[in-house]
Amino acid sequence: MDRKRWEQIDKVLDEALEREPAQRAALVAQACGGDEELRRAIEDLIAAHEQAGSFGERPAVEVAAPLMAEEPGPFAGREETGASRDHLADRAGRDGRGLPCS
Amino acid sequence: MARPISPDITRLLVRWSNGDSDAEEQLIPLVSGELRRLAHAYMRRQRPGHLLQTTALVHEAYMRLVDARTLDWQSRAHFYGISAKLMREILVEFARAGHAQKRGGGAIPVPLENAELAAKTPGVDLVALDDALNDLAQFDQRKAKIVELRFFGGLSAEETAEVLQVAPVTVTREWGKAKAWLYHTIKASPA
Repeated sequence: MDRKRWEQIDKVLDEALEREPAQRAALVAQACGGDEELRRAIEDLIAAHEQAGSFGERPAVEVAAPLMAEEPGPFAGREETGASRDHLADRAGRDGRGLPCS
Repeated sequence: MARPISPDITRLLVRWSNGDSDAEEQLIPLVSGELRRLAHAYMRRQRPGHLLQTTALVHEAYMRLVDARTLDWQSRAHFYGISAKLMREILVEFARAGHAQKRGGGAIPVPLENAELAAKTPGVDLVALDDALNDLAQFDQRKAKIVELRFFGGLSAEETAEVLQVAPVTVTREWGKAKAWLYHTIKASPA
C-alpha cells in the first residue's frame, strides 16, 4: 500500500466512522469524487470495522495458551532449567548494569 | 497463588532495551519456558464454564513476570515496547511450530478437554496476523505499534497511550481502524 494513498483512506475513514452508519455511504462517495477504487477500499474497511467485533481483543498470550501447553515448542531445547535460571539471575545481578533507576 | 516477580527477566529486558543484543538470546528461552509453565497451569485449572476467569490468569501471571514499577517513566515506556516485541516473537514462533506440525502430519494428539477449549475460544491466526502486521507497519507504523503493544504486549489503551505519548482516545480510534484493516486483510488472504 502506498503511504500517501493510505493517508487518504485513513482520513476519510476517520470522518466516516464519526458519522451515523446511515450517513457514511454519502460522505464516502462525496469524499472520493469519482475514484471508485478509493471508495471501495474505504467501504471495505467500514464493513470490516463493523464485523471485527472481538477480533484481537484477547491478548495474544491467552490465544496461544492451548498451543503452548501442547506443543514441544520451538525453543524446547533452549528453555532454561532451574540451574541455568539461577546462573542467569546471578549474571544479571553481577554485571553492574542493573535497573537504570531505582 | 501469586508468583514472585522474576528479577532476571526484568534485568535482561532492561539490558536489551539498552542495546545489549546478547540479552535477547537469553530472554527468548527464559520467557518461553515461563510462558509454557503458565500455559500448563492454565490448562490444569481449566473447567467448563470458567473460561474467562482462567484465561485472564495467564495474562495476569505474565504481567507479574516483569516488574516495571521501579523504572522511571521513560525507561518504563521503552521497557513495555520491547516486552511487547519479545512476546510477539515468541508467541508467533509457537504458532509457526503448530502450523509446521499440522502440515507435516506429526501433530501431537491433543487431550479432548483442550481440543474442546480451543474450539470454544474464538482465536486469531497468530502467523497470519504477524504477516499482516508487518505489511501494516510499511505504511502506518503507529497503528502497527499500537497493535503490538495492545495485542502482543497486553497493555490497556491507557498504558499504550502512555508509551506512545498520545491521548487514550487516539489509541482507541487507531486501534479500531488497525483492527478493521487487519481483519479485512486476513480474511481476504488465501488460507
